[in-house]
Amino acid sequence: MKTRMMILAGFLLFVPLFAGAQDKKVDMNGPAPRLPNGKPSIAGVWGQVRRADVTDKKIPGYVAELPYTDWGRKQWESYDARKGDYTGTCLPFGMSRTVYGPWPIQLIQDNDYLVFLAEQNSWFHVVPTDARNYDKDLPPTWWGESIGHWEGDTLVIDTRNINGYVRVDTIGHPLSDKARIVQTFKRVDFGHAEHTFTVDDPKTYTKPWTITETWTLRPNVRIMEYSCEEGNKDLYSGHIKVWQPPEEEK
Amino acid sequence: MKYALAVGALCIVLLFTATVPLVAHHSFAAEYDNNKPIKFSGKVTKVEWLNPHIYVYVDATDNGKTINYAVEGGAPNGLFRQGWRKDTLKPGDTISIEGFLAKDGSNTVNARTWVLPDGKKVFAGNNEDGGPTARP
Repeated sequence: MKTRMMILAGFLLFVPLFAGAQDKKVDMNGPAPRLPNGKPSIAGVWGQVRRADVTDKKIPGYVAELPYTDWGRKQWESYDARKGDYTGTCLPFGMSRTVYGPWPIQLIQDNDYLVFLAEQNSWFHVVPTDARNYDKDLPPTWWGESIGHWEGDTLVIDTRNINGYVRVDTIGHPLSDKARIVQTFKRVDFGHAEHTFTVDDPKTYTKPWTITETWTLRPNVRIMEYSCEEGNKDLYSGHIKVWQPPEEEK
Repeated sequence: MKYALAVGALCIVLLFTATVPLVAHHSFAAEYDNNKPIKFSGKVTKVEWLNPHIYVYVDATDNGKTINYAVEGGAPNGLFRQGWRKDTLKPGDTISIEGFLAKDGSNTVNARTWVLPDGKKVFAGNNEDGGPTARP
């Protein structure tokens, strides 16, 4: 009896380790799920590829050399996070820094929309997937405006009208307000999606550059609340500076 | 009985040796100085389990003087997924820290390595923030 109690105690100690996971069994190599319209769905919680630095050679798919324009190089060489990085102020990371960020993303999809539910700061981003026209009246934003369309079984998401303040990655590679981000998603099986990420930003880079990578489904991960502001002591204490829009030309 | 103890021991080992892919919401360079490494041991005085980083306050003695360090760790979500809970560290626990001091001269520390009360050494800093020893 005592032994059984000890085993039970050991089990109970073990359970909380994985309390956040439901331990759902899935066939990661099984067929990709389909939307009602027959297109492959990329819905799910994904462990995207973390890239704190898109040129980091340790991470397959890295960009060997960013082709800076003179303006772009100046933006890169003058970047100093100590002067007030926007993420420290809990402002939106934008598409690039979110998909290359550390926290999981849940994608919700139907025939008409793809929705990014980013754990990072609990942001969402809605993407119509009907190839509609861009809204010329919308002001530039951190995430920009994303419109999707299908090319066969590949979903193409084209993001424009970005505000010029977001950075590509944690270490701060630049993006201008002329940047266009084109992503493709192709779910190759239940557990994997091919993702390409192309930056076309003629103000910052002399030619477009692309990252090609595979995302892996995380069926036992659930998105959690992330309230960036609740304890942002670094900012409140003055250890990091409040981000302000740069006065110089973006 | 031996089996039961082994199960319990395994659980504890898993808890404290789980790799912790911790992360930061901003760059290491925004606040910390990689030329100011620091290593100390002390007693936990307070734990703040808050986004975007947990803070653990630690009293450490240096040349007879007690300093209360504010030690910044990873985000609660990442810690939770790796088995940490709000009460994994409690006031009164003794821990050792290896990290880097803030650039502003305060006693704020970005932890890269924690040695927990049971002696287990874990990486529980702000991984992937571009700082020293940050993992890809």
